Amino acid sequence: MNMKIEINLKEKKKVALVGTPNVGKSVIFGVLTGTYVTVSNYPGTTVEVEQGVSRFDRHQDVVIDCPGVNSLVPQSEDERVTRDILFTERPDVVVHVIDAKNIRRNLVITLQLIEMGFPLTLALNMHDEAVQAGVHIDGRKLQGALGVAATATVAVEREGMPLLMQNIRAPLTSRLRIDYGERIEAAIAKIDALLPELPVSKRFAAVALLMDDRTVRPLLLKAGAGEAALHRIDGIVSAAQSHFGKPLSYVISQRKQSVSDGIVAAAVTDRCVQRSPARERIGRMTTSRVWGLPILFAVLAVMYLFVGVIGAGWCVDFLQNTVFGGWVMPWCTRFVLACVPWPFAQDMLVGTYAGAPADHVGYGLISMGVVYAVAIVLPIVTFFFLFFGLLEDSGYLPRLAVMSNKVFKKVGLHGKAVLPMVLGLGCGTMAVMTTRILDTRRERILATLLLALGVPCSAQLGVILAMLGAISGWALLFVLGVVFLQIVIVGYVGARILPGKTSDFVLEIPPMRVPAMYNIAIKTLSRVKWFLTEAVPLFLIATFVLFVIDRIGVLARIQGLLRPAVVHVLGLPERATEAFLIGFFRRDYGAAGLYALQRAGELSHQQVVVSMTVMTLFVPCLAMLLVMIKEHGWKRALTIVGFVFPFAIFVGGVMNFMLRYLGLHF
Amino acid sequence: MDAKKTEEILEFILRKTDQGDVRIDGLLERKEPPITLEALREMEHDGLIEMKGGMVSLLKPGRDIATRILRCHRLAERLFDVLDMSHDHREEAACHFEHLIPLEASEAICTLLGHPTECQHGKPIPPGECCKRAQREVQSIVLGLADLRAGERGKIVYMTTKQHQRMDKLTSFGFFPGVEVKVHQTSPAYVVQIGNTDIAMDREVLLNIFVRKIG
Repeated sequence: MNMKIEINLKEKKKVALVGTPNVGKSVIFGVLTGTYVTVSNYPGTTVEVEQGVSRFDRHQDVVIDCPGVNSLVPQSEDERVTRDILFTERPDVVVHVIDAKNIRRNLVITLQLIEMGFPLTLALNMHDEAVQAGVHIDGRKLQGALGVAATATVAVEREGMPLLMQNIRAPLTSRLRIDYGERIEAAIAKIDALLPELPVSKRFAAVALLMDDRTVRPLLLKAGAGEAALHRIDGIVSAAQSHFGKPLSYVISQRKQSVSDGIVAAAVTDRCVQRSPARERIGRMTTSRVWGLPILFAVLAVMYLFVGVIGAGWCVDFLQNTVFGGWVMPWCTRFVLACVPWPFAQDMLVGTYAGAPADHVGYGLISMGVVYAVAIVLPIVTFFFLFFGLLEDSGYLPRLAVMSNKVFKKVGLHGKAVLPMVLGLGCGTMAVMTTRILDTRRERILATLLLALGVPCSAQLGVILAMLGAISGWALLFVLGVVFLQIVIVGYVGARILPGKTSDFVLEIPPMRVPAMYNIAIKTLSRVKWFLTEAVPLFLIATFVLFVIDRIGVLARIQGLLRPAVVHVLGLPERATEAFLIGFFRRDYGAAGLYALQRAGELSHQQVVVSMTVMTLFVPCLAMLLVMIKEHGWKRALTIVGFVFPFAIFVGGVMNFMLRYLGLHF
Repeated sequence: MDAKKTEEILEFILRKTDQGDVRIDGLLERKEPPITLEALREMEHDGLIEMKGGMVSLLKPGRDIATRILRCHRLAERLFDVLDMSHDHREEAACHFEHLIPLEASEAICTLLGHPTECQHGKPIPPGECCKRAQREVQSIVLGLADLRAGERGKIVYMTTKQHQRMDKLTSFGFFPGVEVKVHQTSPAYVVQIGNTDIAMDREVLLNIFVRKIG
């Protein structure tokens, strides 16, 4: 018995998937493990590293999906994460997923992986697109040159996957060694002698050090390298550098590229076929000076119709009024009142109890928590994620980055920031995590600040659209205009206060693709699942906390404290205080509270405009705050919140007085 | 004293001037080649330099010669780089080269290289007459990638490597000398095709890439 278990453990391997962004790594991961993660056209969507257990054989290997990289000498946090995984996790097999039509560029990473000394196998993915583009790869010659197996795959259609799985079971360690020339080789040998045993080859570490990769140092220190040794290595590096006019990183990269070019020349024929002309033309139109903006506005209009009108309007109406209002709630209330004998528990569940006074407002877990979460927020989030999936898989998102680059430059960011920002329209928490695709800490902080300040999440946006849409289009434009203006002002000032420079905008634009509905459906499902498991419990906790502090009388006291600000500064009814309070637990939840107030006829049009603006600018929700702390630390996160909170009230106050003073109506 | 030696000393003084004041005793300490007080006196007599209060400064005629020589030196380095000459001999060869090329030839080389503004060590190359003319009218054979119009293609001749991070980013996308690129659009951002990939980027990044136009 014991023997058997030991053998099993021994056979259990760690498989790491590595590749550039957009090569379909996540799809391959899904096929290997059966757990689908988000697949997308935009660099960096799988920032969180996914792990799964393989299902293709009985060994139950651990499969790790690393973030996309353009180089293993990292320039962004994503690339660093991948390099660190390879360094510390010591995978038994690395699967390098290659974009077959871009094999020339991808092979440089293959050479880096070989240099690291891992047992390796290649997946030449999106083989169909390569064939279309006239790129033919001679597998045998490629394998001969590299010394590892290469499998042609079309992962979305499961093509080539069985063979890839076989190759994963029998990976090869290449003997290929790039000769960097006498001087560099001598330096490598010297550095080699000073390095301790490493999880990857010393040669790789030596080359990274010669390339002035500062990020590799902490790993070396952890592996037992002494400060003194590193200092001596610095000397060796600068002595080596003095022989070359160009930076060593350039010389080394160029050498790798020329080796890769040699392999490509031998194994690949590129007939330079015109890529599908119609698709290409559409792709180019989306970023052109003439058509770019009209297309952008059309996309936004469709998004408004889809998420705002259909999702937030029809679906919410139907679920809230017909399903919950007409059927679920009356039934639930009757059931609870009949079966649960204690008034306290009755109130906790359905917000009312036998013999409650007529004006009693309860915070029932079902009547408030479940209704808000399922009837109001869920449909909106689902519609948003569906649309976002379409944007991702069609390849439009990076094009949006091109179109918005100039605007983002004004606030110290660049086009790449469009991903967290648009994702922030879905869920701010997810968005803060995605700020990691940005290259510098300064950009990540700026993006987080703007997300916390002004980007409403889908549920909140849905409620905003519904509430303001009920008044007039002007009211909606007014609020969005004010919020946008605040983002620009704060971003502009922030970009000047925070030290450092904005990094260069260099972004790959994948071809436009017709999205596969199946993939979008699966992706939306997994995101909705994330929302249900992550957000809904917070809804319920928030409701419960509210219920408790209401019962022990603390709610009244906090409301008393906030009342002057809400009533006098913002000019809102007292009941709105509680919406803002809940808003801290989930912003969308707070917005939904305001929505309920409006529907009950307790808010004037002016008040709706003011409250929506404040709610949008207001504090991030609890989940987002937690992620902010995790990503940026207590100090920065609290500084951001400490700024955003008074700022929102201030802007709301100014707005309130202006509207009243000018007598503006909507 | 021969012209070559005078030129050497003037160039040396110019390089030092860029770093701050030049002291006479500092100059006299130089070993390779040695500078003597007599040589400096002779140059002062010729109206090339001025010595005052232990300091040396270049006068206009001296500065002109020094600038020309420095320009030729750095142009030569750039040229050897494009020719991919071995690194060990570059500096030495450039030192010979600078004194040999006539003005006309240096302008031809400068034009051929696309009027580069810095040598591959990132030091500025003083502009010559040809550079000023080129800015006005002539289109040089090698141009900045940012100067290509939408739809035009070019082959990368060289890249300036002053900013390591930017360079590493470009090389990781496959930008290297010898590679063909095509500019698809220039606004709102540049979109450049390299191989089968389209890459969007800012104009500033493209300023580091120099190409020879094709077709």
